[in-house]
Amino acid sequence: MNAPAFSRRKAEATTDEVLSHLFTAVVDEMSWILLRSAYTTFVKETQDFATAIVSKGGEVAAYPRNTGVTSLVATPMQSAVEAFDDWAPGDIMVTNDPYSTRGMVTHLNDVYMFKPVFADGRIVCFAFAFIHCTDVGGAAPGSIDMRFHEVFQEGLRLRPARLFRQGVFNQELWNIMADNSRIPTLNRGDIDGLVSAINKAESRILGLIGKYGREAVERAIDRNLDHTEALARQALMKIPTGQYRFTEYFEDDYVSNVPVRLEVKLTARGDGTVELDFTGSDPQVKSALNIPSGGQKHHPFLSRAFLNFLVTMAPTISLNGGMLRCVDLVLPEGSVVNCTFPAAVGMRATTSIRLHDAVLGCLMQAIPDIVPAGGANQVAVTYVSTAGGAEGGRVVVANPIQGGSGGSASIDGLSGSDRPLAYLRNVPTEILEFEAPVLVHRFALSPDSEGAGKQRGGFGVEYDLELLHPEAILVMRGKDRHRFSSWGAMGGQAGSTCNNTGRVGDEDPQYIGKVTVYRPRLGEVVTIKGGGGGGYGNPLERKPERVLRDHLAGLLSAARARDVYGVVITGDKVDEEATRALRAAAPAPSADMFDFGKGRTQWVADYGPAADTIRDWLWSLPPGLRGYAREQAWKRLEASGTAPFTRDDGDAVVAALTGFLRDKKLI
Amino acid sequence: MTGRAQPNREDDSMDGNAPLARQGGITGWLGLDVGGTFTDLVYIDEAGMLTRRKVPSTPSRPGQSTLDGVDLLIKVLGLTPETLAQIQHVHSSTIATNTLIERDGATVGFITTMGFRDMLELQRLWVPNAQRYDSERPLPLVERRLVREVRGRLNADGEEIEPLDLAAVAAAAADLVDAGVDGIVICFLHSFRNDAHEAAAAAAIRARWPAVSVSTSAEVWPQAREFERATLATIDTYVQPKIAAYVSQLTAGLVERGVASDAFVARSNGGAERAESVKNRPVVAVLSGPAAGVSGAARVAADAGWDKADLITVDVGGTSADIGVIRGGSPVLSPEEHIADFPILVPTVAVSSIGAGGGSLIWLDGAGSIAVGPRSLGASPGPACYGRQADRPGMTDAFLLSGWLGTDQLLAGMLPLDIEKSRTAMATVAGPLGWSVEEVADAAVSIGIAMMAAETMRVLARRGVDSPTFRLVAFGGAGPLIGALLAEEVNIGEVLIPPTPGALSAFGAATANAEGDLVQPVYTLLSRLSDGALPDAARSLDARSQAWLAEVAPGARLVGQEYDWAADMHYDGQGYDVTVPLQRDWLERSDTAAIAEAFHRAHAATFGHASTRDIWLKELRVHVTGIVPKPASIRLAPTDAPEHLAPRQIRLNGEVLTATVHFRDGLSDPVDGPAIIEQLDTTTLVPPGWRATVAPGDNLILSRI
Repeated sequence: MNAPAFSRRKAEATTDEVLSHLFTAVVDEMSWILLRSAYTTFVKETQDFATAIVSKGGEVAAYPRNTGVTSLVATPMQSAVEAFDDWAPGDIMVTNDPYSTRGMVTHLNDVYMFKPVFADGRIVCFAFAFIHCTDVGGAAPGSIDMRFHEVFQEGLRLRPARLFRQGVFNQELWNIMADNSRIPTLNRGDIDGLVSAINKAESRILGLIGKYGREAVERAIDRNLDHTEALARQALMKIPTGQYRFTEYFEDDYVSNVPVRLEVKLTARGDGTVELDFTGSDPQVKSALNIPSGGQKHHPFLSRAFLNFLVTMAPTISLNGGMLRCVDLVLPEGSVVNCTFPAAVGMRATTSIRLHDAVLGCLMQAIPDIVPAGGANQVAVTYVSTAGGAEGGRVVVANPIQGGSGGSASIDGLSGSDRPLAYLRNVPTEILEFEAPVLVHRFALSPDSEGAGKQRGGFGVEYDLELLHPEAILVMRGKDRHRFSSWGAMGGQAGSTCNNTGRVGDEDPQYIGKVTVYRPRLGEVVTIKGGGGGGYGNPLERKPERVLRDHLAGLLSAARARDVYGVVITGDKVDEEATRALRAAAPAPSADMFDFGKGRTQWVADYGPAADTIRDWLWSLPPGLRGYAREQAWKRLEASGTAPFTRDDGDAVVAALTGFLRDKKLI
Repeated sequence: MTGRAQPNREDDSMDGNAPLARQGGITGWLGLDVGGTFTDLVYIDEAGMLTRRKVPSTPSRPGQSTLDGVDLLIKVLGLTPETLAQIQHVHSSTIATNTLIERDGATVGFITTMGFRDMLELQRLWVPNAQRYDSERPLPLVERRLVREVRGRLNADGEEIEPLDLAAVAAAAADLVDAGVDGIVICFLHSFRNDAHEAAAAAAIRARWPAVSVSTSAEVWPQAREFERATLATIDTYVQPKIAAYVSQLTAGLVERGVASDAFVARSNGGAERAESVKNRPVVAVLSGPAAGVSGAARVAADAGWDKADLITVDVGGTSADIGVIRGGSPVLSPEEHIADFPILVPTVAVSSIGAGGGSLIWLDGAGSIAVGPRSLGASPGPACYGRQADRPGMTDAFLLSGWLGTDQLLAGMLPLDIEKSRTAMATVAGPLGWSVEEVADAAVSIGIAMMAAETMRVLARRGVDSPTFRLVAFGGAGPLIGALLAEEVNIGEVLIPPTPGALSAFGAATANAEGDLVQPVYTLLSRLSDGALPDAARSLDARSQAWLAEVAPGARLVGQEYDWAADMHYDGQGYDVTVPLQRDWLERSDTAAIAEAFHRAHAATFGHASTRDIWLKELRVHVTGIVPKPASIRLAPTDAPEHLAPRQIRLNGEVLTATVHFRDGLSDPVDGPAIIEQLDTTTLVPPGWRATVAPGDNLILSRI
């Protein structure tokens, strides 16, 4: 290379780096505008919003580090860029439709907006922002219910459309949006917030173009993406070449008691690229758990664990689409991870969070020194809806009840927060009780709830609350793991399960279950429990003084210290001799890499072989029949005898049902 | 002494200094800032002559470096006991911060409402650096084994719904005392509305264990948010022994040296209060250093003639650049500041940090890009030019290699700079890239400034304001080097460089007023306000603020008092508050129309819209200022200026330029860039297109030509 060219490259490299910092200021400013101006609850209390600069190729080019949801970095946005071939300056596009945007949007409450930034008559990039609008119509207030099975139940669906055309507001489009929400005024506040945010971003980017030039800005966007990709590749090279498989389950699909299987095969190719193949996962289900991923090659909702892994390995990495360029997805069409129209998708976040742990299970086999064991993996977003309905009432977010996260080679798990959701905040009791007719009786760690380990899992939490008004309703969205707990790894044990019960006075707690909307009896204290995180490593190797510390803190009973950790505590001291003897006499630890806990282990023993047969058969059927066939197959299996069921039992059910469907000319 | 001024004395100074009558008998102003490595001193005499010195800090003997510094001043300036007797002296320090980082404070016990034992463990749930698998919440200051729950409950209106179990309180306290706690903190839910339970519990414990320090969350700061309020009270008790020891040590030593006036301690709100009262409530002073810097910036700007200005302050120190905001001449206070990852609910000068300071590491990331920070080489070993290592370059090495610092200069006036070591260290980054060390230095400086610019934009965005209406005050060791370039990046046209950029916190302390914040819960809808509610609340705050002034500034050298009233309000149904400035007479008259109007306007200014909904008035606040007399016209004490400084080559944005070099002392004519202006402890860079002019108060103003 000649000297002037080299010299120019140096200047460009510096400008690229300078602009990468200034881009983050732009997206942070958008976030602050949203936080300040948005009306609806989810923005403020659960950070359910995001902002970004999007490259003209449809990749997220800059993303905030400390505000908003962390899981949308690297969302594929080509469908937004390609929405119109006549983009003009001043246009603002709005959409909330997962299906026409090929998985860019993932449920209808997320209202996305884009504005092209023009310079010299061409598009340089896009400003993007989204907010979770509390209500977009549909069959339930809030537009989401786990029991929905069609997207039509979940509200107004809007394919990309221009809310502003060359700066002129499209009143007719807004009228349609307003007429299809229970809270149009609040939604209008959200929409105005989004518009101010992206307009501000446009003016900031134009300022940078004015100062550094259009070409420099375009180049910096591209090179920042490439640079992040290069750093990601380096981190991914740490994963030894090979294939790693892991299976996760939902213990049920919320409309029946049949578990939903999520299967992942991670292939590390050795060149800094990996593939996540979800073949073997269940067909899409007749509840709102499905992820409308559009079969994209890269998508953060199916690779959250990689986002966390990359930020752990390269803390200063610029957050953008380059992070996932080397994480390829294989997503079977019609599966729960790539559902087809018109499957319901409202609660797809629950699945995305479970997939975090599924991928973690693969990574645990590959790089056990870096990633933690499984977490409690529920986020019961709890809110109180007060009387009045529509705009007369109010929705006050109480708390996102999670559980503990898993232990890792270096540290114990977090108590009360799980890794994929560790950015979520709680609401102070004093604020909640002021804003809603609620009395909080307890928000505390549950002793003895942790998955034991050399590095134990985090403790679970218990949240006891009482609604003080008979018309108030408790909404608990995303409860899970009431039977199948978090998993332990490398000799660590599974954590405790989550739960949801209620009691009045001294009566025994009654199981509420996993319903989303609950109207408590007056005086009923509802307990929402998040389970413990999974342990890492053999608990018998945990340092006795750390066991003692948990005991003295009131988090670990002496019995559990003795039975599980092999540590004998007398008074407030470790009996070292007795501990040595007890630990020496303990049976050799299991050679299994994972402990899945009683619920899942028992179910797999009872139903696993039959479930495999049924699943294989379901995949052989036409997509439209699978939901019905799944229901029927499980009914017949249960009716055919008692657990455990064998492969043969499964085959018998499949054979009978195949005959039945043939008779009916359905196949 | 009394508030009476000393007899008037003929004042024959030619530079318009105030006669002593207007100085409240003050014979000099001394400000100190005790940092981890150095202790800065600023002394201003009656004639306004400013002297600054720096001595090594003595972390193992808190207070000693202060006395060392004072001894040095006595020697250098020939201060007599007569002069020392009546100086105004204000102390800021990082001792509280260090105590929280080192975790060597008091053993604290905590008593709280049944069901909330884990308030300090669960915090607000979220984890810093949430995406990293190795991130954790900060370890609580109280071990869980030292937390006790007791029955007794108030509701959100502060009404008792379950009586306090005093027997349980006594049992809990007995347990904690047996466990060896130094102090007990009590925080019950909703005590900010009604402190009866907390007060009863505290009284019971104090009666039985008079030697144990007991504090309640409502005494410390009666505001909603149980975790934040409990944390504040806990920090207070945790740092108290260290702060008390430091204050006692320095006051005893100063008395020995003839200082008869009360010691003051700089507060986190940018003001000061009497050291004796801070000993009992140290939490008000935990972030005194950065706060004194920002209030010092406000004061020099006023001296320079920038009256009631909107300012960004940037303090570029060793490990970080700290950015603050001044609106209308006053530092912006925020209830959302943090210390060592703990929230500080009490109003504190808002300062936002980014890891780009003189010691920040310059490194190559895995993909071959030059990166700056957040890791810092600190004061030891420090950047390579400090001479202790030569394999890791820092930002100061980049300044030196770019020619911005002279090789013959002494860093902070004390350390010689070793450019050869800078070169060797920078080569570790330059080599793999095939660049020259100077080119890497130049690029690293641009990147560091971009990081500060990005943070500045974030700070402004968070306040909902835009930069073109602001001006910049640049200070700290490296602030004057980057001030103008940072201003260019954020579209600001004027930059002020204070007379003592390296010791602005000490300067801010020296000239601090007595400033306090008080809060009173009201919690009512404006439409349902009872007649006496507002006047009563306001009068209660009147009484408390006057009592505060009497306690923190007894003997009153004060020449005036100011009361700034405000209320935290929100629309019914809304979850976030706006702090709205109010007038005292609106409260006296219960003028809800005026209050509502002020709120609508403040809401629209912040959020872009207003509503017709009813309005909650949650808390009434007053910021009380006792004005301490100031030296009239400040000038830098002259030092030995070099005869002639030769122009030198500097690198800037990829170009090599010849900069004229000037000495700041005695500078009077404007200087056009490219130029370097050197002074004892700092260097100012005037880039091309900028002009430096001397402003009143011996300030330097850089402006675009």
